[in-house]
Amino acid sequence: MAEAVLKIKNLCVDFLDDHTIVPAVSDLSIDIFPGETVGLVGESGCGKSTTSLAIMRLLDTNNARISKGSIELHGQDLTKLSEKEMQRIRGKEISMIFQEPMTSLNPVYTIGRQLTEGIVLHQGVSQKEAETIAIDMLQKVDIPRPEIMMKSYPFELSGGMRQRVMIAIALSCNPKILIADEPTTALDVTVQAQILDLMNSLRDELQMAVILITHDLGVVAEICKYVYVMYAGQIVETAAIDDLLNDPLHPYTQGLLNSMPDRWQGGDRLYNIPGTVPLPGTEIKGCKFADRCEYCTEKCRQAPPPLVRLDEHRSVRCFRSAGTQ
Amino acid sequence: MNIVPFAASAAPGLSKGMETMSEVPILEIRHLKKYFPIYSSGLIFSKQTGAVKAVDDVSFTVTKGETVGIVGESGCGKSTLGKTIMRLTDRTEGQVLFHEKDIATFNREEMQELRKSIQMVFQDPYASLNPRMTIGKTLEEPLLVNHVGSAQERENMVREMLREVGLDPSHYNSYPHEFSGGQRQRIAIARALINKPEVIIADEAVSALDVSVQAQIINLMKDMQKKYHLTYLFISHDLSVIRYISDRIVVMYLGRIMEIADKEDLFTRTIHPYTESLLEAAPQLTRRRQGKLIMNMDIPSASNPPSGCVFHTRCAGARQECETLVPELLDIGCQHCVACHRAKELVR
Amino acid sequence: MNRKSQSVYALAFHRFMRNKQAVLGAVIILGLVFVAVFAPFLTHYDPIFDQDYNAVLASPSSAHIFGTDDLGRDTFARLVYGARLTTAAAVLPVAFAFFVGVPIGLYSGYKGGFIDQWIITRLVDALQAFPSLMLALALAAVLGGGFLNAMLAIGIGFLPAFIRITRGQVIALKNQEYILAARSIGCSNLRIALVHILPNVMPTLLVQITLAMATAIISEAGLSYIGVGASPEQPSWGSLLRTAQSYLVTQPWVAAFPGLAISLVVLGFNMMGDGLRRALDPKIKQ
Repeated sequence: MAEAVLKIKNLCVDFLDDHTIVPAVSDLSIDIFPGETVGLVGESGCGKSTTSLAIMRLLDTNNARISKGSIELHGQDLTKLSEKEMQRIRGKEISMIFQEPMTSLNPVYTIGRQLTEGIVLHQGVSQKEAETIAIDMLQKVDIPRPEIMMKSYPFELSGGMRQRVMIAIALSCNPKILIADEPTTALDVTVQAQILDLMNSLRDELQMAVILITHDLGVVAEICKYVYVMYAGQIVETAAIDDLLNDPLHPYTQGLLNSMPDRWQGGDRLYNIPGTVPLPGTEIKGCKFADRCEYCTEKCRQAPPPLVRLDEHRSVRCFRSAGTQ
Repeated sequence: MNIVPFAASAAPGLSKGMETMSEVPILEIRHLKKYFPIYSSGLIFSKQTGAVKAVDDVSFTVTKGETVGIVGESGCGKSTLGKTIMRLTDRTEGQVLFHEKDIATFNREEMQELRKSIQMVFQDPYASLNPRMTIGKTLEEPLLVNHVGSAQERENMVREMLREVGLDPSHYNSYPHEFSGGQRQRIAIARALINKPEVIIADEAVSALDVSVQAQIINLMKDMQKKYHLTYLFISHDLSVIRYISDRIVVMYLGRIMEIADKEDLFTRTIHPYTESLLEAAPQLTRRRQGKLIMNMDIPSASNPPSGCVFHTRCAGARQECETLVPELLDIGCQHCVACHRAKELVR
Repeated sequence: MNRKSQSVYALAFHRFMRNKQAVLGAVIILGLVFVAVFAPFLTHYDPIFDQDYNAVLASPSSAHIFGTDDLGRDTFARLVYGARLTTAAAVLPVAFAFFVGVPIGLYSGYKGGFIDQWIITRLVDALQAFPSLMLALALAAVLGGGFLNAMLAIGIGFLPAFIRITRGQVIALKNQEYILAARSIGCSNLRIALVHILPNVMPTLLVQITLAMATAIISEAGLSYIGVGASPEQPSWGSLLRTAQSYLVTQPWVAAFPGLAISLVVLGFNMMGDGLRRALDPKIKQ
């Protein structure tokens, strides 16, 4: 197997809120290999977006910080780099696309200008050469008539087209890693399907590693090879996608899948996980899911369960499912 | 012709055990059109240069107690349809009949009654509650403007309703910002229910919620429907949600109805190419999509929709006539209606 | 969840109190009001009739701590009583602009259409095209001088800002879902404007009110200085400056104290306005 491009080890991120420290992500470890898409799934507030910002070192330093762990890109620890060194990595080694294709493009510049900016910056080529590369990129993301598109402004494009442009910008410097934070959430289903197809084929073509962050297990099922399920700042289960869908181990994953109307097996009501996600900063001694779990025992309330590795691609953070009860 | 004074039929409890009544349409939408004019400014006066056809010649009926799902992508006019039915925005043409009476002809008093009988639940639980009003005040408002009860009675009703939607009545004096998205949506549902309406129009009511919370809210809405014999018009872009909750489904595209059918019928006997690609595109857990999508173009703008069948630009099976002739909504049996020139061939 | 419920204003108050600058501004303004209310207890001189001809243009001393003016009147007494006019100058024009401008803005923004776009907006544009001082001078010429007319003139000068801000906010708010929700439960337009929209516009208006008060004080001083505001014998801070003008070089303290007073109070209003803006900003949540 190839070497992992990105190794996240025991990452912890804290939010600082008026002198109190609220852990947002704790003890998160992920290895990402070239040519693979891994999904980071969870509901709002589970820390998935915080993780992506931490990787890019884009956390707001006024109220968040990486308190522990390392993020290694080819053996280089990103958490130790200066802002200046990070700027050389962003866009060149690791790129990111966001949820809102409406607001992530600058309305006052043409698509061409926004595309070539990064190319000139990172590849040190002339404006002319950058334009050739840019047109090439637009072709890659299946945009018809790229020469005309170069002169267009963002407001002239539809949401799907803008997301394609965003992808083109993100991929223009051949990054090794693409982080996609809810890239299709704001799009219609037919457009979403097109964008997912595009991401799939570009990943194979460019042999990048893709980290897909989403709340939608359906989207994950569509393009991911491995999935990391997050709950309250922790990874609770990791698995290959088919294993996860066919045989979810963690009670939270089970609940999440069963709540989906797709999985409805008849009967009067949809399954739902009782209760709500604990507020960030709530002191929980045992398992963070204990309060909502139907299998909760005394042990679950006493000590936090560790993430137990079951086989090469499968881990679960649950005493019961890991058989350590 | 005023047949059913709906104030009298506004007591939903009456319809219990009156299942035979269910064939009477509670809402009938006839050739409804809603155009938004586009102006371009001249030197002194601006002049109309076009129109966004948000809703274009839409007809269907809703019978009492059923859930009609309206599904479509952004810009298909589903939200505008909801607002036009509620008369939150005035229609351009056509009719909306509530208990067989055109709501456009309603006078002030009748409008006030209508506002009690049809309620709306909106998408964004963060935007649909006034941030400067306590939950108690927010829920009391519908009672207040309809002059229901004394202050004490109103407060009791509000507390009761809070309990019913699964919230602690002690939240009476709390402000919206103290609640999570799911809880806010419960409050919004409580506000819609407090005047005991007949029809609820839910406009993407669960789209902004996390899956597990979404399931809770959908269950709550189902429970309330049973308890109060509500009729739902459930607007959503999410086919899986629509499939779960609806009895009948209306598929819209660029302001027009493409297909209407009973739920099971629509999924087992999909006819319209648009419905088909919608089903195809929706990510599902059970099967992985094979190969590329048939439909590979952006949705055209509603201000400049394609001629003929609005879907012909993205339809793999489009023919000559599709570009010029607007297909009619044809019943192909079992109240399964399709607007497609090839409907007859596709039925087989 | 047993936290005490807090309204947006209660939260804002907490944030405001944590902002030292804002609190200092508020203290200065409270000081102004205190001085205005208790003026007779702070000095035993009458600001108009106690003329000490033995001490004309006297420098600060134990008898006259801020010195005297050209008629031998005690500057401290005139400043203290002037606080009353200054308070009035801050309140009256802003109150006029608020009570006239906000309803117009609400109506215009909520109703839209011809009256909004062609009448109210154009009138506001026209009104805004005049420099406010010119407007005040023109009004003074028509209505005559005097303190109240000056107040009215300044108030009219504030109208466009209040109409614009209200109208803009209403237009942004009226498409919010909770306004739609209010319409869908059958609220009348008047009720929506007053119960649902106005409370949401108030925070912005509150900031505008404080900042307008600062401007009002300067404008009043300016008008009195050029002689169309308070009459010369009235102890307005502006007319104090006007008197002092002739002695700027020889007896600078005559001008210094009113000048300082005006600066201090305006600074207070501005600091408080800024603090309010921060405290009420919905973007900063807890």
